[in-house]
Amino acid sequence: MTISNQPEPATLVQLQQWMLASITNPQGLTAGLQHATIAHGRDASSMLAKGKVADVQAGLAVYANGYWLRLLACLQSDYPALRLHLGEDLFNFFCRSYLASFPPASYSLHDLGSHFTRFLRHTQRSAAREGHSLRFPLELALIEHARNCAQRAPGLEQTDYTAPDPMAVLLGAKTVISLPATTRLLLTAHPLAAFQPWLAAATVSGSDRPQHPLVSATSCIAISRHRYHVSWHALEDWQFYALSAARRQARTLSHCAQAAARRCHMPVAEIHAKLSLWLPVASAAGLLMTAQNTTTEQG
Amino acid sequence: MHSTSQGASQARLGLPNLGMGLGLRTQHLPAILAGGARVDWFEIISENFIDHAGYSAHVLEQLAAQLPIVMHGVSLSIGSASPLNLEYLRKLRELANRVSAVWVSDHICWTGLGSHNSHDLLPLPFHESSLQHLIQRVHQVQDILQRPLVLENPSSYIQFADSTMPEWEFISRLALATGCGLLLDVNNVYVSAHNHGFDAIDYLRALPHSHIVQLHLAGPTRAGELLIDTHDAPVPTPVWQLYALAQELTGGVSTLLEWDANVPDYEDLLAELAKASAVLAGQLPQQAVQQQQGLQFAHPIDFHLPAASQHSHDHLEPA
Repeated sequence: MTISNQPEPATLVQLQQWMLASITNPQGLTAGLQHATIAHGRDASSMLAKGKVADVQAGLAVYANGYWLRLLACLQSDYPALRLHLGEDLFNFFCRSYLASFPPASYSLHDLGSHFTRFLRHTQRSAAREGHSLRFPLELALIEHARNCAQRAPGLEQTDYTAPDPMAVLLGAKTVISLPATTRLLLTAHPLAAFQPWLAAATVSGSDRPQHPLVSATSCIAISRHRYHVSWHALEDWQFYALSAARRQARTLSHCAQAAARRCHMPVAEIHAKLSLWLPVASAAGLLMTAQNTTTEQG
Repeated sequence: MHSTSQGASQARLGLPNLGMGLGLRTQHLPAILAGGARVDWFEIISENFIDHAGYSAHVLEQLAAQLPIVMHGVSLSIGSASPLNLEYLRKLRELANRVSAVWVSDHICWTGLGSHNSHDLLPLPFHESSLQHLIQRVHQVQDILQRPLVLENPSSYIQFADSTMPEWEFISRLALATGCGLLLDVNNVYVSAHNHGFDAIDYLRALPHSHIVQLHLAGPTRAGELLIDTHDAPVPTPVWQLYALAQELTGGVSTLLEWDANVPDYEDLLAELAKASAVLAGQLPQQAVQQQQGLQFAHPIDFHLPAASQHSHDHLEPA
């Protein structure tokens, strides 16, 4: 396509708008150049100097190909188990659709996949239903995203946090529970053990595909980091809801026990006792932090 | 020529010759922790450690206590028509303080516009208007960082019709007007010289050598008629020749080997870096340029922690 009446030299913003439109079009460089020509009234021959060793399309193709390959590689790095499960073609199809809807906006490529799971759930609503074959990979993506967040978030390693005194907890010392940014909680329709082979296989190049899980069961999963080591935990439901109660802000042990008791239809006293015993274990796993004082909790 | 090696020690913006360094890559952390760094200094990709409080950041802090660290960014977008990202700059300054960065560098390019970041090092038109735009922004960045900014010449595959001056004149005037440092990537000069038909030696001789604080080495790939800056191969002989000339013209500055795709073992990387010392001793390695078909290359930005090495630390635990 040629523009007959050449406009004034492009301003910097016009030049950059034109180039971005050309090289980032989801349909490829040819479509991008057509779009840029129409949208900005300038074509490649007016914008670019004649190439010395290759034509300008070949030069632009380096940028256009590089844009998509780089972003795909980044998502592949973030979601290796999902990629293994879906296969290369379907995974890349979802990635390209996602990137077309959510072009990279952050200065960090670590943020590139931050909306990917939301995009998948939104665009594959029917797949999110119980029994659908895509339900499992959607949950696998959620777990991988949670893992990615846990790896980079501020954890307890650089703090002077001290674990709770088990005896003080049992004796009723006021105990406040909070979750570090490295702890993530997920409710899934498959057991943790179903995800494990996929997560493990994705770390080894050329691994065989594990089997698709045959059974489904609502599962409570937590991801934590302890001494920079990320772990997955299968929780009992009362553990999950007790931690959930402290997810957004620090809560007393009693508050967490009450919240869990409501969700699990169990006596508060029973949850309170179980939680008191479990706190040191959960703390040692990096799942939670506690603060204590000698004041006895009421209720 | 703007200067000679005579004033090199006073120049360099007060920045030292750090010797021979490598780009720090996460897959090499086990080898470094087990066998020691065995280099004079490391260069990190700034964006990989901004907003990062995990294991790699922890190891970086340990290394920073032992070796000089230089920060090399890819998202400053100094040439963008959009306003500078002040939040990014604040975090860059924080990271520089945290690792006691000897200097902070980025590229003479733009990476995005508005909210769209291409994560590529996109070329600029070289004319008076874009030069003044960059001069104003370099001053702004240096005021925020409270230190000289060091800027690298990128490789490029297109040139803009509106350009009115050669790249080396643009870069020289930018450095002289702002006092910024230059990171001379001799591989990028070689790549762009081939793609755009200029003389790489003329380019090197025309730069203000007293502003050059660091050299980059890397291996490109020939794809069809174009050379592409792939950072995935040994440094070829013509790049070593430019390296030797750059060291002669500057009087000796810090050397950094980049390798970002098909990354070899740490030992092999050290062996490749050792060739730089051999070049300074007058021995020129014989290495052809890597050749490949097609134009399917992701420009090398060390973007992520590799899945296999990082995620394999994770494990399952019962409640």
